[in-house]
Amino acid sequence: MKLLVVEDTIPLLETLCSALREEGYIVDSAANGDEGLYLIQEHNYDGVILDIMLPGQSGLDILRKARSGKDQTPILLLTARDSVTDRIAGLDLGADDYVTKPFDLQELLARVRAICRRGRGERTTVIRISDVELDTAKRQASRAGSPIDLTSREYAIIETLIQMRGQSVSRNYLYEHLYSEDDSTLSNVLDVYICRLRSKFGKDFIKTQRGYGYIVDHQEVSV
Amino acid sequence: MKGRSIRLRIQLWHGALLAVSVFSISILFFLHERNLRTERVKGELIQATAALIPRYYNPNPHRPPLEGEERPYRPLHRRDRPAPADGENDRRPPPPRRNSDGEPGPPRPERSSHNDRPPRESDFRDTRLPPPAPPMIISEITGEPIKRPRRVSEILDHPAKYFLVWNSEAEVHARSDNAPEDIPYIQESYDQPGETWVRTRPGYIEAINFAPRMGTIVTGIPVKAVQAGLTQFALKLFSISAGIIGLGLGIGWWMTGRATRELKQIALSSERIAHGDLSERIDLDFPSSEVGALAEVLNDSFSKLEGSFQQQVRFTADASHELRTPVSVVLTTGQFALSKDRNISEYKKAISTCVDSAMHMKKVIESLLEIARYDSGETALNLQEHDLAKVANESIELLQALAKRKRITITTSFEPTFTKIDPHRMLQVCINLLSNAIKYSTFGTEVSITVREEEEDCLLVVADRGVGIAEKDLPFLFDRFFRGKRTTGDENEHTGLGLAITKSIILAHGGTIQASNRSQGGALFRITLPKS
Repeated sequence: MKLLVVEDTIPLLETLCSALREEGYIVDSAANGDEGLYLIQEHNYDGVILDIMLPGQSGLDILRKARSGKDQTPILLLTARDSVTDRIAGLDLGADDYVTKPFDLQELLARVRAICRRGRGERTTVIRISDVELDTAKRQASRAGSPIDLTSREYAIIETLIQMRGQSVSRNYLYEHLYSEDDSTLSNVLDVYICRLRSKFGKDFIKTQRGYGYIVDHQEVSV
Repeated sequence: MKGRSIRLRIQLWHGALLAVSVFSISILFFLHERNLRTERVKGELIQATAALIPRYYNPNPHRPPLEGEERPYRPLHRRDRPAPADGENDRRPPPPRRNSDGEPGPPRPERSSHNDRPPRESDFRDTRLPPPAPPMIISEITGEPIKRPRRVSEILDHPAKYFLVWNSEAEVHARSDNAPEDIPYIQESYDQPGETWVRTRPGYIEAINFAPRMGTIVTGIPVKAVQAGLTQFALKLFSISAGIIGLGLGIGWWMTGRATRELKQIALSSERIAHGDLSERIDLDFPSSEVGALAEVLNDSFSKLEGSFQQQVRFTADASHELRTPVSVVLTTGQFALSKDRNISEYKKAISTCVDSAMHMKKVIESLLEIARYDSGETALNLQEHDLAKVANESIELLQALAKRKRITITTSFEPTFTKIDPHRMLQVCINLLSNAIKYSTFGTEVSITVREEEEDCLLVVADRGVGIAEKDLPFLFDRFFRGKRTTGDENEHTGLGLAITKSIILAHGGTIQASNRSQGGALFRITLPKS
């Protein structure tokens, strides 16, 4: 999953990005409002962490513009402004969550997970398809009860595919959401990962749609 | 309620004054009235006496009256029968005369020998003189003649008035029933014999007419009778006075009540405001001018109080807000570093980031304290006679490197300007202004500094050709923590307090500082300092 962090305090920006990357996200960053707005409009992110007090455009301006452009990206406001009026203003402008500084890092990570989940219309953290269980909170997958060892990248791909089960996921989408601009991608890198995932989850778990992408079947076993 | 009541005091004084005035006037009035009555009574007694004279002094018809004199009188004769006290028996024939033997004497002359009827023409048959006119009694009060009364009861119009007549031998010739027993005999006149005069003896006022060889007539009245009327009058006067005083007190109480009510309103409102809502104001319905002025002054004070209170609240909010960012850096960095095992360099980096943030917090706190101390006057400036231009020059040297990096040229226009300044702190000011100018200057432009002495004061001007200051930011530029929209990326260095501190220092020197935009772009900061 690809996130954007817009924050003008550099040390904080850097630490946040590191922490999110360690969680397995792909993270883009911006230190001023103009750059942040540009990135949101240019790319599709699975979630955005947005500071309000920014040089250039303020976070609220960015939020307003994004939402008026029908952008559905989940956005979490991260700010030192903590009055109730500020919170109400932010949420009413279309933010999905509002976190004040200073914040607990683990809490922030959980909230990021939550807004991304909601972005997908997902309400549960555990998804089961046949004998495969994916715990998005713990970022673990298991099959027939036994946990499957996955690299961060592998988890990211299978999570995306499972979260969008029943829908075809194009290769482009996967590239966009699972690789940052800095990664040099070769088109067959993805194939390698899919192959590895098939070996772990079962050949038929991930189906190929020729010329387009991949799909995980929508066979939910209700819990 | 502490202290003595103003209202009560006003009321007591006012009441006392009113009472004294009213009672003094009443007493004067009473005395005047008493005098008047006494004089009137005296006048009446004189009149009564005069009216009795023709009854008891037999007039000699032969002797024409002297000028100014009433008819001459014949002496009272023993054998004259005394007139009955009530004057009813005008027509009772006189007892027949007897001579010394007791035999019937010659018949009485028909000439009247009793005085209780006016002389008739028949009395004067033997004479050829016209009947004398009856004496006219002129009323002392109205100045007009009074009809001769026919009865003593008409003469003595008051039941307490009495009369007594002595003949020339000091024997009581006639008296009224109510005459006191102990009237001392008088046979003297005050001025002229035959003139009525008045004497006061204990308990009685009497009018006396002494006619030598004829007798003495006394009319009098016990003082008590006069007093009785006076007592009633005094009571009436007293009750009216009391009424006036009461009314005065009542009105006074009501009026002072109005004034003190306003004061009470003010006291209540002020208490409410002081204890709670500083935005409330005193609102009097119909303020009197004096109390209204007080309320206005109080309202002004409350506005000032509210203003400075709000400023404090804002400041506290700003301060805690300013510290949020560095605190969250420390927190997040620390939590991240501890979230899993890391290598030494990562830990080092994390710790160094924390230290940087702590330093930033330290600067913020110190700057805040500095400003607070300047503003409260706690910090004493180390004033010396010093050249402002030299200080400005020093700041240029310190910022040379910074200027070079942006290819900024600093032009100077310095005149030696000696005045009382704290050199260290003025250096701070110069550095602040100069570094701002450099920071916000466009690459390769010019920053100018001017120091010179003017007519009234000393001048220091720092101007740049940068982006200038947004019009809407101008009023807030020197506020604490105010940062314009643009920053230059050194957030951690920039506390937002630089200009606020500068302003505090300048104000502590007794000077002024102003910021404005230059007509062709850029910002200009103008400082004036008092000449020593």
